[in-house]
Amino acid sequence: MAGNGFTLFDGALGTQLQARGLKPGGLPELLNLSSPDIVREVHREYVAAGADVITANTFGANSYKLGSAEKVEQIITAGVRLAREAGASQVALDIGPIGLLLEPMGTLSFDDAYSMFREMVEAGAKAGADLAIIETMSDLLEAKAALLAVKENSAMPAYVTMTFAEDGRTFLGTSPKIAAITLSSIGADAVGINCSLGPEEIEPFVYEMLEWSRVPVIVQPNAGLPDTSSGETKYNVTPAEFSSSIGRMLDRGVTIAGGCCGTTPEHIAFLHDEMKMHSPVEAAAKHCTVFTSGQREVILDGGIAVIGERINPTGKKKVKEALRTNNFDYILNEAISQGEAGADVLDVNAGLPEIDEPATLERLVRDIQAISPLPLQIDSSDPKAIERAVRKYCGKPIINSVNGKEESIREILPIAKKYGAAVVGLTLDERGIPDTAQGRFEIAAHIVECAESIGIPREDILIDCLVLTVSTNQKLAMETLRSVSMVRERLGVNTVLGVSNVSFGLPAREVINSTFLAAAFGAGLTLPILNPMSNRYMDVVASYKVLSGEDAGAQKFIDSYSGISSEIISAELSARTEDITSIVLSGRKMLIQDAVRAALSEESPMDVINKRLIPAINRAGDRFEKGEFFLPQLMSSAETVKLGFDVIRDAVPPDQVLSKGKILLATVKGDIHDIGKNIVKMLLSNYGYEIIDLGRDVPPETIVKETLSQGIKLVGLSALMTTTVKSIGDTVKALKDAGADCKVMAGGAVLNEEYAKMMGADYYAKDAAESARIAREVFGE
Amino acid sequence: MPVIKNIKVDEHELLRYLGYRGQDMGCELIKNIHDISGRCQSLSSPRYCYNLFDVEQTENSVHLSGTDIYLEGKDIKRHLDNAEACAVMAVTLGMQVEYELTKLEYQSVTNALIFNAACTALVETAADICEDEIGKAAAVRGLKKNYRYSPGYGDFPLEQQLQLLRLLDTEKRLGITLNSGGLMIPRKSVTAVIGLFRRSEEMADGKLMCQNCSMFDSCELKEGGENCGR
Repeated sequence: MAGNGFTLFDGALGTQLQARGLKPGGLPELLNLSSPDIVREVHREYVAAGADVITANTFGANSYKLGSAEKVEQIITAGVRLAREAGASQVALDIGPIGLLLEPMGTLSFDDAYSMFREMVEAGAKAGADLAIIETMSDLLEAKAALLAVKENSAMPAYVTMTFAEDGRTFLGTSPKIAAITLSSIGADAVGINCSLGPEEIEPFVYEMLEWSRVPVIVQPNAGLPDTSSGETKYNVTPAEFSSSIGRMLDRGVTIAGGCCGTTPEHIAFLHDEMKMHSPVEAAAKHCTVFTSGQREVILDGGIAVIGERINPTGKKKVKEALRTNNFDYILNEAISQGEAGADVLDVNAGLPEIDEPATLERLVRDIQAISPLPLQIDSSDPKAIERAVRKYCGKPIINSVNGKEESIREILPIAKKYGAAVVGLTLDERGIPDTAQGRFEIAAHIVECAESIGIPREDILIDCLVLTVSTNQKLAMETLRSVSMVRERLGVNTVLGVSNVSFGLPAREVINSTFLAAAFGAGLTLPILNPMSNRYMDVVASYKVLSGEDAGAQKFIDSYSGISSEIISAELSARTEDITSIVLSGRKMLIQDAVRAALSEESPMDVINKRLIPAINRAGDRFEKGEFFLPQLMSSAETVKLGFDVIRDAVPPDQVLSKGKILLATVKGDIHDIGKNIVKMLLSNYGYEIIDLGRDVPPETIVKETLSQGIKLVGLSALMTTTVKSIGDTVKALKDAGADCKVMAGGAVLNEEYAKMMGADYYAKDAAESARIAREVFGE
Repeated sequence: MPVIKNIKVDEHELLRYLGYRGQDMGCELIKNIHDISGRCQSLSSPRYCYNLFDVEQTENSVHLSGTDIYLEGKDIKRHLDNAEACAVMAVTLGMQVEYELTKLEYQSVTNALIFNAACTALVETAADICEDEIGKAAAVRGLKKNYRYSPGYGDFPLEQQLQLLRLLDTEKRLGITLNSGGLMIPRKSVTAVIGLFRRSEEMADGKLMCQNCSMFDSCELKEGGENCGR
């Protein structure tokens, strides 16, 4: 120790090794074996400068960068030993990012990332490292995978730092606040900031972390901003400037410090002396209810937040269908729409008896996180499903739910504790739901007590006093509201209610629901679960925020409610009788659904499709062929037709849905360029084909499996990159080897007729219109 | 790393990427394109980094001095023929546009298409700015630059992308990594090599001809009598 409660880490290793001959672009960790003396020498200089902790030269020693697990062990063993030999009092196993981006934006799975980190942790623990420092992270989920790997496979304390750009976000959009909240909730022993910027620039970010972290805060800045004007990278902050900046942070509550890129043993020596002049200060961290995703936080500090209820199969035909077929497009659009409608959090429920709920929920949560920045509420009655989804969730989620039953408390609360999630407690137990407010309050108090006893902070506990249907027992609605008041006042926790249940069986449900919602806000409800696409509910939410003072100066209310004109809407509606062809050709999506409904009142669904929609899309296709339309116009027409089809599908019973044949589409393994495939998908579905869309980066095995099990006759494969085109060949071969009786069409920017044939495809689809011709040839008219 | 502020989507370029040839667009589409360009600008945080390296010619490659990197292929050799040094650069629009693009791919194919083209136009503008900066840094050393040439052009192997990214440490500096298919994430990123010459007459003639392009056989611009400007 620096002697007085601070911990001093060492400074830069990479830049020091480069000064001693490490080539740019080379892997510094290899020097542990090839030039151990140099590595040891740098460590020794930091020991001499007074560092308490020496960071072993293992930052990139993962099996992706090094190529094999054996090498990982060799290099980490050597790295820890070299730090020890240099006289370090404590040695930190250094764990940097793997070098591949995790799903959903990248292709590395959480499990693969976790295993690679586990290899490092096991090697480091075996070699005798005293602690692990997970550093320079940009991806909160990757930091979480590494943190879990340390906690689950060693007894080493784990410090985690992330690296922020000048805009106060990591490259993936995480703020210091989100990082501090999430990582300290999951159980990091210290959280902090390293690299990228100098001490001056990170100062405000450090204070943000101090405000939100539940654990000590560590800082390791660069020696200033890198100066690259000469074509080489230089760092210009002197040791004196460096240490005095950090000195200010020590006075605000930072207790662990060191240096990153560009810092030298001299910087560390100055910092050592600086620490002697300060004493640790306890930072006063905030205690309020917070949920996070990688990019967004929802803070409940006396206010309210809306949880969107739409992603739940109960009573929703399309969600059920999406979960059964594993085609989440509809659900993902629901997620986007709820966010646009003003939801703060999204509830995600995949509870259907006939599916593998844990696997589905895990995938659904992952996919939603790719397209929506909102924090999620993981909703299931299956503890296995909850744990799988929460484990791989990026951020601090809500678990929905635990209840007062002993079994539920025993199974669910430890999951919430381990992953730092907030948890909803339902006021029911072995005896059912108490009729009285007092009875529900007692269960709530029991849940709070049990949660606190295993270390879940009170702000992470949310209580749902349960809404029952007013049409079956009219007294219960007011009893629910009374219990909300009691819970809010006496337990001081935030409260959840699924508002819509109250009106079950009554007409004009939105009217009842919105009145109940307003009353519930008055009683102390802070987290309504509702349909944010209903303007009536969101009106109540927006106006309540004015009345409660949360919307300061009513600014948001005024911005969204003043000057609303209904003229635009009525002008659009007057055109509803307009000809479908002209609506399609001009791509006016707002008009098509009314036009199709009007047509359906006079003609059969088949006639509307064959005499109106398909001729309209054909006209658009002709114009495109002749060069009178360019691509966005064709696509806009196709999207318009698709909305028309949606109306017909909703109007026709499911067993009468016509399909001209099933076509499977996929962007092949390794490739994530989806646009071309999606264009083809839309056009083909407009022609009445049923499209099985497997998405992007799809391995050949999956394509073979689906082709065989669904009896597919036409498979469309797409790739955009020269490097991924060969995956088309691999897939065609796999299909042939498996004896699939199907034709394959291939498309994508780098393909041509000859190349597609070379890959073994039966057809080359140069554009979407061509794919429709191919489909006609395969299936007949 | 240097951040580029206040750059605008060149809508003329955007339309060119979309294959626009003077069709009548109608005011709704024009407004949509304009709105999407604005969204692209506000979500992107263009950043770049580069380093300069002396180069040595070898028989089949160009060696970046002080590194273990040998740039391979006859096209990059031609690009750097007679060069004294070169700049290796990387540019990205950042992850927020990647999120938006992914979202739009689910939400609206048309808007995804337009947003994608807007981002492509913007990242090229950002790369131009980086290239100008490299021109200035080279001028300090009395060198003149040619133009940027990227892995995947001609026979310059796309596989060398990873080496260039590691050389610049883009994971730390810009947040660019490769996915399992060898594709840069964020997708709207560019890496390139620029030759630096003592005398401008030492540079190989102008830009590479279309015939040398890996896209030559399937290029639609070529059929319309245009070129992509690479």
